[in-house]
Amino acid sequence: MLINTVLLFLQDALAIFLLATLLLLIAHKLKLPHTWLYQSTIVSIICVFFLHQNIAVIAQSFDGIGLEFSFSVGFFIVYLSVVLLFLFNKQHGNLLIWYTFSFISLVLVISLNSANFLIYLGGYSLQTAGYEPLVIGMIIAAGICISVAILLYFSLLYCDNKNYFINSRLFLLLFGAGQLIKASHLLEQVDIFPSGAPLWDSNYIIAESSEAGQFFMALLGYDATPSIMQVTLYISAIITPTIMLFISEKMFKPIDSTRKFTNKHALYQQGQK
Amino acid sequence: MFSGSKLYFIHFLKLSNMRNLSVKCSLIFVLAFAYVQDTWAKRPEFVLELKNNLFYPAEITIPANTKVKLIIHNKDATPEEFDSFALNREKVIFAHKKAVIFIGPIPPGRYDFFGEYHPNSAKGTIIVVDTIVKDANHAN
Repeated sequence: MLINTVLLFLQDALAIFLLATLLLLIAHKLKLPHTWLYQSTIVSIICVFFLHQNIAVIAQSFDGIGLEFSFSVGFFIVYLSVVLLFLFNKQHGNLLIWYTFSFISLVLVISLNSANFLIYLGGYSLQTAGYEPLVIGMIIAAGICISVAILLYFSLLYCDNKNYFINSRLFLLLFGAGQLIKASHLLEQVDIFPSGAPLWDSNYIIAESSEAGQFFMALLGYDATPSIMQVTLYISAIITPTIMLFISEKMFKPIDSTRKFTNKHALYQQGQK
Repeated sequence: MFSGSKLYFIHFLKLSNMRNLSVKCSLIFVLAFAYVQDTWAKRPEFVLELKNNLFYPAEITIPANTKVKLIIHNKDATPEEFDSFALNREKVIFAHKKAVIFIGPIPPGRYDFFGEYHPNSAKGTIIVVDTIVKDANHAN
């Protein structure tokens, strides 16, 4: 029961910790306060409570596909919010946009992932087994999540400072694409999204059930046996916003104030002569 | 600039546009749902039961390269999560409720599944074969 609790907590909580880390890192880079983090945590607790109260009803709605449908809509909104955060430019964008979409994405990720774990907790409370393995398992898993989040924070902070291509913004986009893949999985499961035979099986390299598999699944949307539709969706979910970013950066070039000043200064000096 | 009646008229137009949009969206949703249900009706059905944290039958045979509908009845008082890494499926089945998931099309082979909340007891295998002999677990 202890290992099971650790694995289930990791599976659900890792995505929350990773998104919070990536958003904190970008907020640090943009020199923004952390009010959105506290606000979204409080709102998420309320959302989780209401979701948990009604989750059985939602699950039985629409002929038994209510949970898949509502969760996939939620994950799709997370992807859209993440894309807008990825494209956000501090020089030309309104900070309210950044706050709003960070808030939406974090509230949705916390609510949807926590609701899953609460179902397990609800079932566990009906069993006769003691609470000791549950509490210890949650503490161990929380420790792993915090350690992974700290490691990711400082390694990406280093990459951001060195201006490497692999940076926090790119990881945020990959995280968003992972959420989109989660949505496609849910729709595929209820026969709304077309599914096909797996394109490859990489379980022998990184098993999906392993800790590394869980980490890559939460961070990048790793799937050991993806279908051709999912691979196409994942690639287009990354390439489209990247192209949009390049276009927007070309359209809104930052004003080089130093060059303007030096040109004016040179003209002034020429006039003096 | 506008008189009261004109403002009311503009407001009404905006509302009617909103209503039109919501009606269109609802209609699209209903049509899509009807299409999905029609597609579901064509899928071969297989039934699985969860009792005392055990799956019955523990092995089911399904046809290869065909999408099938798997109906799981949870007879226990606690929820369970049907999970399979091999099949890429994960679904919560609430206490005394049923859940529906679709599997395939997949090539022949053995695909393990388990109950995520009771992985030591709730275990089973889906056997995918080229030719299928009708047996008790095949609902159709």
